[in-house]
Amino acid sequence: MENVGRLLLAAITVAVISGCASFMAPTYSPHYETIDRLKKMRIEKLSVGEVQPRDPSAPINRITLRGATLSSPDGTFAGYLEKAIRSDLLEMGFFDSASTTRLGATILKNDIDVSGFRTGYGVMEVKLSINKKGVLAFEKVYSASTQFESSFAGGVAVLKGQSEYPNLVRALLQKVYADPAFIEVIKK
Amino acid sequence: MKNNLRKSFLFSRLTLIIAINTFLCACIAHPIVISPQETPKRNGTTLSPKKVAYVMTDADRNKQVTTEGGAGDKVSYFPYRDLEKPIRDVLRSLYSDVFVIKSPSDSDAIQGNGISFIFAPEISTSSNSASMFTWPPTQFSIELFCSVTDPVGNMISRIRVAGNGSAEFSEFKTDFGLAGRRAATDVSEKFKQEIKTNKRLR
Repeated sequence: MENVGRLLLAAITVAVISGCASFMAPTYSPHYETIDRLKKMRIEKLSVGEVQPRDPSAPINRITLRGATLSSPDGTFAGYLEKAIRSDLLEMGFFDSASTTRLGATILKNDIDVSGFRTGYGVMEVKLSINKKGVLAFEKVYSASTQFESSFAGGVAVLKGQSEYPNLVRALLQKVYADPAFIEVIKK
Repeated sequence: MKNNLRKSFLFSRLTLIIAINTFLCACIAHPIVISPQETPKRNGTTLSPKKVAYVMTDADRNKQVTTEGGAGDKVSYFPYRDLEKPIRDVLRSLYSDVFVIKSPSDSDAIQGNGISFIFAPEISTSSNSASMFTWPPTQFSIELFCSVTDPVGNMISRIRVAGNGSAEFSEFKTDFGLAGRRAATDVSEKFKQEIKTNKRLR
């Protein structure tokens, strides 16, 4: 009887994981050592523009993990990144929604790949810009990639891919905050 | 006849796929995330003017723990990585500034940042489920032990708080770490209250 129950559950799991389920990306948490280093510098207050693209059907806002959908708790992955940047600036004391120095970003690549049985990959590429009083002062493309243990079992690989997303965003923003060129343009 | 044979073949294949998936999933601990649903908010008017630090290294963050799930299966997660934000948010909700340091004896970071207290957290967890068929834990406990020292290493206080979370299968949807996330919310709120009522930490 127990075996029948487990078989049924596995059947449901297979069905869920092979197409109709939607998994939510976990909450972002930053690389705090980088945040602590940056917050000690004399940096201008920044506002944050709407991270693009906002269209939920844009390829960067659609991540699938062996057929299952990875969703953002903020509607889109552009919204997820915008919230992460705003929360980091707040943490560092550099956020001011009225500031004329505005940070903008467009996501160019955004994917978690768990198709491999041994290794999973995360890749993200973002074009980041700083506008000062409406004039473009800085523009640069940042990219980050992560590797993590995957699995032959879909039920395990999907969950590993799900938990990797905040690590990918952390890796990308860590690169931005540690970049001397980025720091130079927002220094007071 | 041909149709029956085809149905039988398809059913056998499906059973085999399910059996392989069940076997593989049972062999590997199911990964879950236990980051809390809510963390304490910072209110600028009630903060202590002191600056504090907490100790956490990349080795802590990469420490993977495996505990019991249901149906004889296990779950795995990263307690320090998932609980770093709530620990920091608790401290940020009580003190003017918070830093992370790699060791309680990192005097350069302690003196350079004007730190008054150093919190060194240790986390232990347990989980279980009475279910015979489903693996996500329905009960989750997190114990947070934190020694608090001054900049020269004198013990100021020892804090021990425990948070519990439970979740029913009908609530999981695809949030299989829900009981753990509830325990994390509970432990972070208790951690905050414990510091708040400890006069030696104000």
